[in-house]
Amino acid sequence: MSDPRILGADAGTAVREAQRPPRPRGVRSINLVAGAVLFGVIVLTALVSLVYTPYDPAETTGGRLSPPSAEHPAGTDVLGRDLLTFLMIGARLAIAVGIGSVAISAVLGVTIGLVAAFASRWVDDAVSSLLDIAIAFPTVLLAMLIVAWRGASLESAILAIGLAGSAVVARLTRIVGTRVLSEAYITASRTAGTTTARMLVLHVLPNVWPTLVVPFALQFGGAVVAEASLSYLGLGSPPPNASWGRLLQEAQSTVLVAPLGAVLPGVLLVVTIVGINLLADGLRDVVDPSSRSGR
Amino acid sequence: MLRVLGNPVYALISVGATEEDIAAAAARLGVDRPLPVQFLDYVGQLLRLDLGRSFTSNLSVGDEVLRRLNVTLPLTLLSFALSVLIAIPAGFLAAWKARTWYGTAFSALTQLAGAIPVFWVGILLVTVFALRARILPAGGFPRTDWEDPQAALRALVLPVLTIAIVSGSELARYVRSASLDVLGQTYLRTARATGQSFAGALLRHGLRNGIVPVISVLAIQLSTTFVGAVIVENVFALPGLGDMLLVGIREQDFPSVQGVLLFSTALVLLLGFVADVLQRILDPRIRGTLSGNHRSRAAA
Repeated sequence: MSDPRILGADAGTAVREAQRPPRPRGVRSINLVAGAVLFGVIVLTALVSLVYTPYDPAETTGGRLSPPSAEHPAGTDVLGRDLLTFLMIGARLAIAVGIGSVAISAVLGVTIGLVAAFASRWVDDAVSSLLDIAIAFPTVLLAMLIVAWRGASLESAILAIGLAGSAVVARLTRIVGTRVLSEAYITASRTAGTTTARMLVLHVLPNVWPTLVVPFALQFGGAVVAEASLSYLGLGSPPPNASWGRLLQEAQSTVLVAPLGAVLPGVLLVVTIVGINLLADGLRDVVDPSSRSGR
Repeated sequence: MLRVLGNPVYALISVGATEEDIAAAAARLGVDRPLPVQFLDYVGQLLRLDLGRSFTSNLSVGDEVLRRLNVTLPLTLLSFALSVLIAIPAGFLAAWKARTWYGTAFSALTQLAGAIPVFWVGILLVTVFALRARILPAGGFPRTDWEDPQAALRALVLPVLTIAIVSGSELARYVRSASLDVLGQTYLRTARATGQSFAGALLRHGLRNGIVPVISVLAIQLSTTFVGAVIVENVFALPGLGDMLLVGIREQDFPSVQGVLLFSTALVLLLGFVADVLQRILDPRIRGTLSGNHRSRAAA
């Protein structure tokens, strides 16, 4: 391998291989399956927590910081509350944050994006520049601003994260929307006398949608992390509806006595995010088979 | 904007305060005046680069921001430097050896590191290195500030590692994809055909082409590092800007919150601008487009 020519040739092969058309779907959908399983576990936990949790979240049944036992599979927290119960509630909150903020971003972002795509060049430029600034503004800082305004609650967090995400969605929608609007079938439809509103619903949205599925999935994961960070800083929803970020903050000071409390919420966070990321990866291959593996 | 929110007077008065006490406190803060007046006043202050005074401590917000930068700036820059030092070689190698065990391990690891919330990395590092092994401080910053550089640096080791692990792995993924792109270009083969060595061709042609998209990511990354610092400061009880922001929010000390947010926003926008200019210098193809900038970046 000391001969530079061989090195160069090697690199060439590697790259050509990386740019080869995607492997057969069977191999690639491993991402999809693994992601669906990981994420499915979290969703299932969240659903179960709606009808059943081992204990009442406010119930202080166990000893303080007791290790895992038959009664408390994940141990208890500093006040003797059951950790498993909190972990399950955390899953429910994580899903709520993901769905809520992605919904806000979707409604706002797609609307703004389509307006920009339809609008005159001047409006389009103005909106796009504003979006650029909005995207440059870090989500967590925006979230802190909104929390300072509305007070710390789950709704504030969802609203903030959703707003921050909508700029990204809007920019993407604008790009895809512009492309769709230049298609022949739009001209044809317009010639046939279709109203703008009808065209939006019938032709534009269905063609913009597939491109947005993957970003939405990725945004879901980002929203869960952002909420966890806010909660960790004490700016999320207050107990007893404690999210994983809050649990981590509370467990930080007792990590040597009860390490599980500082580990399990983090593990669940990572499982959720890796799960949704893999799911997004898998979806990308399904939605857009031409995408390469290299990102 | 934040002037409208909540009533800061409550943070200043004790229980049992009379109406007159409240009015006096409001007058001192200037929040008894009509909102438009307050706003114009604030804008006027800003134009004079004056961020006002804290409601709670009555210290100048501008001075406080500068003082806090003593912690946040080194933290941000060191973390950024470390993450770049890790990311560029790691990302390039991953592109070069895309189909080997290294490439696979790289993808798996960066995927995982990208999914871990930065504060949890902090908690884990503190547990292992400070609480169990006891080789580094778990948090806090020496009272002597930078007069004792060694102690100050020791206090920053774990926070810097924490941020670098997370933002470094993200950056490495971008470097990998930029390198993959460059390595697949025909101009590299042409350069090799003219007799240049592979390394020479890569440095002369590949680097300049590959670096352009990476630079815009670097600017974004530097701002994420900054925000990461705001969060991580809290894990390690460092008295930086993040701490100031949080305390400000908790105590409804709006001038402080505004000051930090304005400063951070200005910094983030400035970095974006510098990156745009750098890109134009490096890539003549972008230079001609003035308003089309967002298009070219969006397409990338």
